[in-house]
Amino acid sequence: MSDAQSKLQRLEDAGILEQKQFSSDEIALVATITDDEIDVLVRLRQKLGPPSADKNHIRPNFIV
Amino acid sequence: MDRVTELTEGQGLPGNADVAFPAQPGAALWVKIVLAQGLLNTAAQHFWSQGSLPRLFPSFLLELYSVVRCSVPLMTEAYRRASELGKTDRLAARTAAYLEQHIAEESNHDEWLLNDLVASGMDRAAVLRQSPSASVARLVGAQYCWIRHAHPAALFGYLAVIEGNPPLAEHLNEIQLLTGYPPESFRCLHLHAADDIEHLRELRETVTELPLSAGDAALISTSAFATLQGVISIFEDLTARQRTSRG
Repeated sequence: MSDAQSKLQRLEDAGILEQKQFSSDEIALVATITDDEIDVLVRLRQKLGPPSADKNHIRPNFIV
Repeated sequence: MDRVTELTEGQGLPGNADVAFPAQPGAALWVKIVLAQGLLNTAAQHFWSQGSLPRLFPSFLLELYSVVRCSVPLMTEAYRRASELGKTDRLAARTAAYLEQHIAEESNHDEWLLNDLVASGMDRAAVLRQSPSASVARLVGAQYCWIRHAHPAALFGYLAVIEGNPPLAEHLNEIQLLTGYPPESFRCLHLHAADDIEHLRELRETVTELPLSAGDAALISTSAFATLQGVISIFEDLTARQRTSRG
């Protein structure tokens, strides 16, 4: 498994992205994410839990 | 459908369905920002799905005001530093050009939000006397550190994460119904629901075309991830405070 595939797999296993939705060009971009950055994303996903499919309309976050 | 179109049509991350990432330099950075935006959206989903929205909403608006009040001064500081560096630094010159326009777009939004707080029953003078919370100070203060001691382009990470999840009119209407607050409490949020889609598009175009070194990209990425964690902390603090006050 290439480095890019390995990173994609980690992100997919953590529920951060779905690999099948990425083109080869996009996979190459994901390969630039460092292991430390993936660690942060995975930790936050574990802390937050999965997104709710029926709550996609919920989005008043902070504004500038 | 790309991420901006997703937002326009009210679709959410993750898993980033059909996201199309641009191919210019800086696109790799934007991938990280999109992933961060998706996590922030999950945090917002949890926050807004709690009971007691009538109690949570004014606290959210107050904390939001603390952040928005800091925005133009923060961008102005970054603009000032970028303008100084821009004589010999292409990234700084590009940063200054973007911020000059964005400062004009965001000016007076704190006043709009203050008016919405007053419409929600809060005292204007009391709101103005409120100091930013520790969470807001950490969120904004980190940017001052990077602007002054690293590079003002760091602010792109902050802006991209914060503007990456603009309010949606449908959900604002739902909150209004659930909380009973008047439409005047939501004017600033509704205006951002309309405007921030375009701001995000401009920001993505700018970021993906920035003349970035590996170190610059890492700095902006660090800023984006710190912003993500900072906003999640604010949501957590608001929830914890509401639980404490409920006893």
